[in-house]
Amino acid sequence: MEFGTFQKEKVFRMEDSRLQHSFGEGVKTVEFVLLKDRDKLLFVEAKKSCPNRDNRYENKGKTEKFEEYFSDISDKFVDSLQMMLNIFLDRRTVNLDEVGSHITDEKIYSILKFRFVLVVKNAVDIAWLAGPKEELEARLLRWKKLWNIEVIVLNEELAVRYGIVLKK
Amino acid sequence: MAIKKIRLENFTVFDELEMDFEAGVNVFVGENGMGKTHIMKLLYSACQASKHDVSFSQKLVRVFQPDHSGIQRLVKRKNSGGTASVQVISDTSYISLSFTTKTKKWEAIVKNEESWEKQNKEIESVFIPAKEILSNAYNLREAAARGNVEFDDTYLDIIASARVDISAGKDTEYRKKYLDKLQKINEGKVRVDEDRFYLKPGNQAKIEFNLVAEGIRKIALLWQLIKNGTLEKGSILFWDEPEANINPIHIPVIAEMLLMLQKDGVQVFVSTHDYFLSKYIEVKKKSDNVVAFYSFYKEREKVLVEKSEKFSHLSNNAILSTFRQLYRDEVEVVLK
Repeated sequence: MEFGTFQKEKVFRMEDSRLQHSFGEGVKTVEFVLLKDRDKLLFVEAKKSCPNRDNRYENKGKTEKFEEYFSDISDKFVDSLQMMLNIFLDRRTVNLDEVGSHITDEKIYSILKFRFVLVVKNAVDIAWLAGPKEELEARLLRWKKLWNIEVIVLNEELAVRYGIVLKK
Repeated sequence: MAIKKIRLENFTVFDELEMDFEAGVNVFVGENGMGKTHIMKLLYSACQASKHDVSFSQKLVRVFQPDHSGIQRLVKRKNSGGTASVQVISDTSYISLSFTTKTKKWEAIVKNEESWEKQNKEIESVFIPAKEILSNAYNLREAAARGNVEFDDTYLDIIASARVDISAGKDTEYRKKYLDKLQKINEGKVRVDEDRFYLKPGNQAKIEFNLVAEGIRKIALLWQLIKNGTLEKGSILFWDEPEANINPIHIPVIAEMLLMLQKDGVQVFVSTHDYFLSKYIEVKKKSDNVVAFYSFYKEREKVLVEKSEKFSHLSNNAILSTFRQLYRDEVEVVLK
């Protein structure tokens, strides 16, 4: 799955960035952050697949895998948001030229809407996406309330439609 | 006894149809007007016709309630002048009827009715309509007989079934497992007193059904049908839109009840518009449950039916299509 071609000024490829390293070990990030339109900041994480909520309690292994998967993604979203808030509050001394200049434009800070976006490549049926979406929303409920965040899960078809990934 | 198959031609919305059923839980889904309830009513009428004093064609008329009791009105409208035919096949026998737009009243030609009665020896069948009716039970049959009100037989029959005297003494283990689960929801037992239905919570005074929430009344009805022995091995249950007025929190219990009944030998037919009920039946199904989903849909003006073991495998699935469209609309709002 190839991500879309984004304007340099509107994207920040967060994973393995200097900014991430500046926080030291244990801080997780999403793949990238994308400024969509002028007011939506998308935190995008991509996975090939997703464990099935319906059979998570079938055995100990599946339960653990399910917990690990959603725990990890939730951490990535939350840590990434806080990293961006660090930038907005001018709390980092590290060079920020890897962050798109439109994202670091102070003028948009007060109007920014945050979106947590998980892309699951192998999820064929759109109806199935509701399960992972609800799971993430339940885990991120406090953050949703505090920052009015919307959480959405896309498959490849939807991600292509919204320009997040490239059509094959 | 289990209903295995139905064949029909030119009947209400159907040009022609052939459906194979499972001895287990048969779940009908589809948009309004696709004939789900018609099939259930047809099968119910056939089941009732296993009684020696019930005629298939007359029962059909009383259940469908066409104007002036005219069975001719059940011929598919587009095919005026055509002949409607229905055949219901059980594991031991069949019954069929045919009629035209010229047939008077309920005088359809019925075949094999005697053999159907003999082979099926008074099957116990019950049809729970979408609208709860026990709260209006008092005097309803008498009023309907006098023509003061019009209710089809599914409403009158369910009152009669629910009114059956509760068997005295300790409940069997079979019944207890259902009653305990249901009692937790309706918080009481059903009582019938002078033709009126009440809910009796614990040691408190009984509450007339009119004052009980409609969803609770429905659960209480299920309780009553199990308590009085109407629903047990060999019975056939038809339930139209069980989800109507039920708190979503109780839907998993309804799904469990249906699967438990099936394992205990009740053949179940359910018509639903509810995503949760359909999915919960699929999710709660165990390896020894038998479940099939039937999607009623229209293609080039003809109503067709698709069958699958899994709800999510139905290609023509109105519930899932709506669900998917809702999700797409939600994504649009979030990302636009």
